[in-house]
Amino acid sequence: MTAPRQFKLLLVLIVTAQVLFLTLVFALRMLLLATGEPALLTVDWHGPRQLPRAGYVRLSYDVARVELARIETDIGDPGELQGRQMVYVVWERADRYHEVAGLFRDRPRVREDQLLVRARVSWHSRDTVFLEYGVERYYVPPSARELTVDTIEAEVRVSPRGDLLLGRVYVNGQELWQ
Amino acid sequence: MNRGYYEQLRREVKNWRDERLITADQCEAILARYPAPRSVNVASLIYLFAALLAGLGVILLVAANWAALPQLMRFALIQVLVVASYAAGYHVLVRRGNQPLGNGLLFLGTMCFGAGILLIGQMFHIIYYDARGFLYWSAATAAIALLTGSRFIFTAAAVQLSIYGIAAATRYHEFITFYPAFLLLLIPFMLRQPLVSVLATGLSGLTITTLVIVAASGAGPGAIILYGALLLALAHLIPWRVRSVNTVLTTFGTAAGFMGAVAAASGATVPGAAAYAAAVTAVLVLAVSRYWRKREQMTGLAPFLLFVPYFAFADVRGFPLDYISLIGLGIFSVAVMLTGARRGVLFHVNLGSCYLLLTILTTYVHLAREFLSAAVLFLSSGVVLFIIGWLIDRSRRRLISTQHGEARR
Repeated sequence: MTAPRQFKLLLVLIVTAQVLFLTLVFALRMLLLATGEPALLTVDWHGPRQLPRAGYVRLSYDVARVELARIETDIGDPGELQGRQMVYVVWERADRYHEVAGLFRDRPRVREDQLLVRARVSWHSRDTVFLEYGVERYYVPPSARELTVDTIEAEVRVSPRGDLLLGRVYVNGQELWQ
Repeated sequence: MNRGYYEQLRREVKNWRDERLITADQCEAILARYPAPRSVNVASLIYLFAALLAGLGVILLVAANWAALPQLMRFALIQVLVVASYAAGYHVLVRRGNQPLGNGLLFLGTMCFGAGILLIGQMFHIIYYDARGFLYWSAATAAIALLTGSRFIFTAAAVQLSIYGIAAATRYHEFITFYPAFLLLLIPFMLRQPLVSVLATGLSGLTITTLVIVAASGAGPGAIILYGALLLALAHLIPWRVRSVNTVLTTFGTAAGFMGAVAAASGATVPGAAAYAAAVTAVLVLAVSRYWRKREQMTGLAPFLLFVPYFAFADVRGFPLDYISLIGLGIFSVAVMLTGARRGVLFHVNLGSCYLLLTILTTYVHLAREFLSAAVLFLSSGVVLFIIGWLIDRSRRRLISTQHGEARR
């Protein structure tokens, strides 16, 4: 073990670094929730009729399933995509919800009314690509446990870099309290 | 040195002093050369396990989603737990001088930090695109291990880093970041405390994660053999002051090389065979040139026989890679045994015997369906071993008779 004075100094440095790290991660998430561009998404709910008592559910968004023929893209053949490859998705607001308008390997330019989001390729078929946005997991709060589900909508926040964070979740049109 | 041997040495040296074979000063000087081996502190282990359980409790509390508390309160609570654990650890360790409990509390601090990472993930419903949470956690634990010199905390850091490496390779297809992290986080502790247990812990993490990375990336047996050759080269090319470093590196290097060679012999495809063979050959040439330069006995190179890259011919049609590899494994095992016996290194004799047994088992499994080939191979191997045994015994008897002759004269 090092000398007590040096030990104290080093321990203070290590603990400060850890506390700052946790604070930074927490603050950045809070900042994104406060300032990120909101986007409302529909969830294709395949889970049980009632939300579970504990744990989390997996939200599968409509924007996770992308048919290449119906959007703008620089991907000729989905077979060229590698598993877990990072791609850029362009979202456009259609009526109430955001939908996919484009899927690109290289970062594209977007219009002001569009949102640029980063996602990873989950898997693909001949003409459809399935994406993961990193906001698929939702820890069920006590207020929603065993709630009967008809529809689920989720409001996500998008950072200027294209990162996402799950904001509000609505079950049957009613916001769930976190 | 184990405690039993240490105690025996102390008794013997004191007997020599009592029998006036050596002086009291010489007795002290001899004993000073052999410091008492560190014994396992049971209280320390119990405190560290207590910290582990308490830390897991904190993590489970987080995982149970304590939604009754507002987000900010949850976050503040975990920060308070982190700081309080470290502060208590410092107080107990430095002010009260209670190292076992102090280390336990500092370890609890690292567990709370890990819980904090998981809590933030859960709080914001995050699925990480990679396993970086474990990387950050192991960095914190490795820093505390280095500060306290605790082997238990170091083991925890090695486990956390291995979890990161395995998850990154299997779930997120990231193969590279584990190695710089291992170099930065675990190597400093291993260099500071080059004990067998510490080196074995670190190299276990490195080897297991490397095997998983090789399997997940489809790099094949060539990569495993190269990894083993590099470890063995490290053992032989660097003059380690502590002998245990050499022993542990040789054990892990030959284990990896043996696994790779068996995989190649069993018909696993060897992607990039030529490139890996060239790299392994370069390592072998480096080892031979070093022995040549230093004019050391070439018998010391026996473990390198495992790394003769037969797999380079994997793509050559009709090349009996399995037979050649198995014969190569047999030659390696016997050579290690023989050089061990000749130089009086028991470790090499045991290592060679162990690999010979494994080679026989592998050969039996591989050739079980081809009775004739198996019979010929086992019969000829048996005859060769009988001859080797007879040669060793003959040289032993000659040595004994020479010594008797000198004694009579």
